[in-house]
Amino acid sequence: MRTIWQSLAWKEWHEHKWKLAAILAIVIACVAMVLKNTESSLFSNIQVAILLPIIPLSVLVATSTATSERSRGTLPFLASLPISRRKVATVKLLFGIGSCLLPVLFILLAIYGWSLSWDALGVDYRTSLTVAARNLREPLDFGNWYLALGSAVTLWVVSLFLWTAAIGANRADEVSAAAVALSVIASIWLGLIGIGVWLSDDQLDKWLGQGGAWLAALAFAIAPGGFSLSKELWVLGWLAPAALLLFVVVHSTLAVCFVRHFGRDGDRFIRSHQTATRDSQQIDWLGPPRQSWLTAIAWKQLRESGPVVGAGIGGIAAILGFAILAWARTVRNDVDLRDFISTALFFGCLYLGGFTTLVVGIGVFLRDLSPELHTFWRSRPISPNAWYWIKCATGLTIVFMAFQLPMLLLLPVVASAQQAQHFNGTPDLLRIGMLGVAVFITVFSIAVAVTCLMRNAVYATVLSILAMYGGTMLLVAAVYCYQLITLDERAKYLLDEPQGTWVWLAAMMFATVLANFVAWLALRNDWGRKSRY
Amino acid sequence: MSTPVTSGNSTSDSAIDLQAVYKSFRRTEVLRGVTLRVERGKTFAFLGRNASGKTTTIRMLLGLLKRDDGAIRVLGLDPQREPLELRRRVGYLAEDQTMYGWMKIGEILRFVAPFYPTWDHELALKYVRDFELPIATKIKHLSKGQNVRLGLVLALAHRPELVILDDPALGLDPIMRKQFNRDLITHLQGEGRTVFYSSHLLYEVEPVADEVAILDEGRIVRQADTETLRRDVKQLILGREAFVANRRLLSVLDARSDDERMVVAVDGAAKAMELLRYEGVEFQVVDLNLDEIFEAFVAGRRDDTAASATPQAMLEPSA
Amino acid sequence: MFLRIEKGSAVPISRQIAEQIATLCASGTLSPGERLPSVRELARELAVNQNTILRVYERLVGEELLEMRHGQGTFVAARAKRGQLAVHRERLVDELRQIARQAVGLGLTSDELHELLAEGLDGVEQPIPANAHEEQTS
Repeated sequence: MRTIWQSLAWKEWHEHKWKLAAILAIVIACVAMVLKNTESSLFSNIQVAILLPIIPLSVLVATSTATSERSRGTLPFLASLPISRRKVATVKLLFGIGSCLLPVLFILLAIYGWSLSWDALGVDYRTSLTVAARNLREPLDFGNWYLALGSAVTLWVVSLFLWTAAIGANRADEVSAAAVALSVIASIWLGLIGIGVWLSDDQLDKWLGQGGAWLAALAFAIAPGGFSLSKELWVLGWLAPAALLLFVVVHSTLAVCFVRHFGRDGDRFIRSHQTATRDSQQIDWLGPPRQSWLTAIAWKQLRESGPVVGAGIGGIAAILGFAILAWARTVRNDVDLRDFISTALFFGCLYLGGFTTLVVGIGVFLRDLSPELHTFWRSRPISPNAWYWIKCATGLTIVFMAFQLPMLLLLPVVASAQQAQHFNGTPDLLRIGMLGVAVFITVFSIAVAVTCLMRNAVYATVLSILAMYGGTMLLVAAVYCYQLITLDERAKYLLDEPQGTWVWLAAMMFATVLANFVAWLALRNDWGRKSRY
Repeated sequence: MSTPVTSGNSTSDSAIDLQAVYKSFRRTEVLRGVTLRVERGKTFAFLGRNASGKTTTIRMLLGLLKRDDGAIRVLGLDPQREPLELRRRVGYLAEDQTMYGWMKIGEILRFVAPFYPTWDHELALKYVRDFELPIATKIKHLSKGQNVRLGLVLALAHRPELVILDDPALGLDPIMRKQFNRDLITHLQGEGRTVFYSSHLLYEVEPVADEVAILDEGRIVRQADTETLRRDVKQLILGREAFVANRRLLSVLDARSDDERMVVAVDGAAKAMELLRYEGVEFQVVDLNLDEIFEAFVAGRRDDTAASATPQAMLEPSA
Repeated sequence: MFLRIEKGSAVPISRQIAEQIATLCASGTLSPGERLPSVRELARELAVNQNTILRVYERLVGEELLEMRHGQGTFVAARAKRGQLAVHRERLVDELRQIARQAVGLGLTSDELHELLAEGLDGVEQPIPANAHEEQTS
């Protein structure tokens, strides 16, 4: 007979093993991408390649840990078992964090194993190793690069994971948990940065000198992932252990919060059985039917994607606010306001807009393909072709209008604001504009295709990112193969400017067409991961 | 196979016509030659145990599943060739229908309307008022009964000739079920529409249905109107030897015995009773309710030697 | 008019309705010439198939208990016979047969059974006329 812990561990292992495998694959893919670089920066690149994907992945896994039971509807079952909810939550937490950290451990061991064979291989990257270890600047002072990177990753993962899990503990599904958690984390960071910018220049120096540093150090200790970055702030001797203590205390509290809140409020989301009577609303008329099926489908898509795009715009507005703040405080003398804002807006639209495009792309068919709603629209006289193309077109249009149009309009301003060396006038603007639009469309199409096949938000996100990385690597590999086959020296520069743009554009167009084709077929013929018969 | 139309207009098409339909999922054969015919204007109840293939059949009627073999005609159309045209003329209410929770009732009606060329918006509003549905409330805030009624509005507002209901009263409490039956009679039968209705709650189905078909092990084992069914299927109580001697005259659905008597559920009771009387056999007749009739068809033990065993009976050579 | 349908009964629904209407007529609750609900109305009220109601009405019209006036509806027949109604006959015979079976099962003879019936008749509050003639004079 198993103990309770063993049973729970068995269950969580089965649920987490695929996440672990996926994370391992992603990190390996990232590390592989940087392996071709030169000696001195190799390990610095490796540590970036490891940290960069782990950070968003740990947030994703945390949202899944916090809400997967509820979103799959298995929470009432768990609640009916004679197990304390806290045990369940604790095991979940351990496995969740473990599945983020174990892949990194594995990679570090692999690299270490490889390093042992350097003598045999006749290569030496030791200088690169020490350079990287110095650059890492992780708070707990290990001399060893492996331990340093390991501890940095652990601090990042644990902090982000606990923050996300604690915030998302009782949300209805992964999407809303991710949205709330990301908003909170982003707000905390923007707040910190804002305060930092506000107190910049001489004021901050005065503060730092006078011990304002302790405030900053402690604030960073609490912030999600901030502890790893705060080494410079420990100017006073006692700050380091104090920050560590605060880190441990705050994050333990978050863990306890999660464990205690998990699975509570079971009834909050059950539909009220009280009949909602007409008295409460007093509306007794129906608006006219939608003009045509085209407008009907477009309206529906607008209503579904609208909030996400709105959130993206809100995020960009927040970034703009901070940009203005930063300008007012620090760069005022060097840079023109218009230029600064345009650049901030441009990059805000690029990154936040890009991420929002991914989310919108995933959202287009996510709900429609859930088993409950699937039959609803399929059993109506709605042509699946119309359903697919109009929904995609509408989603893409909204994203374009919200993010890409501003980007394209800002392009000339930003270009003129940059150093003149890299830009030669309009042709390059055109190319950059085209590339930007192409990237957005490709991201959107891939997200749609992956969702149609996976029909699950978390899998779709991870797989989309994987697909994009994979596609990029595939292109690089294809160019390499082409070079090998044709033995053409010039082929090595295929991906560089100026002809690189066209190659990228062609690749992205191909990816878009393929993705749309696959997605359209998957929707029409109902291919894809079926969670129910 | 085409059976001649027994009543009504002999030139009218049937509303639903299935002929020798086969369907397998992976390695399980769910439907094995289902043959069924529903006349226009009738309320037809499709009965079967859970997982007997009722929902599979209904999904094939709507073109949501492809059949492996056989022919299906719904309102004269083949669901696989012309699914969209078919769905324009058919109203459908699924079991446990989930709709977009974020839409309000008014919004979903306005959304669905342009897909149906025959959509009558005034009629939709009339139904909404009759059913007392709160137009400005989001669907996720509706109770289960209101959800079903909204589903009915969506199924009826485009004036379909045929309405297909897949276990619509699932999960409704008895009051809501009665109300649903009432709605069905008023709005569907009252307008002369054909209703195809699957359920496993027989006592709910009986007052409302004109004709009934029982699906068991992938085949239709019986199709008749409820009165005929009650008349044809009865329980006979007779002596053991008499039963064994006359077994060939009876079409036995279920046979149980205690020491000396056999309690047998038979089909074609009238004929059976006549024949038994002719043979001079004494017997008693018991009327069955629809649940028992259904049970006899789908769970009846036709093998009478697998009867109760008193040690005495075991020692005697089996007759 | 209050009718009660017992779902899941061994008695078909049409017969339940027919018997109850006949009983109401016989007991005087439905007076001769009174209008009955239309087929649609009754179907809606009882949540029963319209065709079933129609069959019941037609059957009772056939037994001269009800009459259908074109365009106006269905009414209780003016000359409704009380007691000699096929519907009731059927049911009473069935029930008596059940009692007879039980008696046979208990080992009673036919004479003993008749004794029981006489005892039952005695105990009835309202005296039952011996035959139709007496009914008209009392």
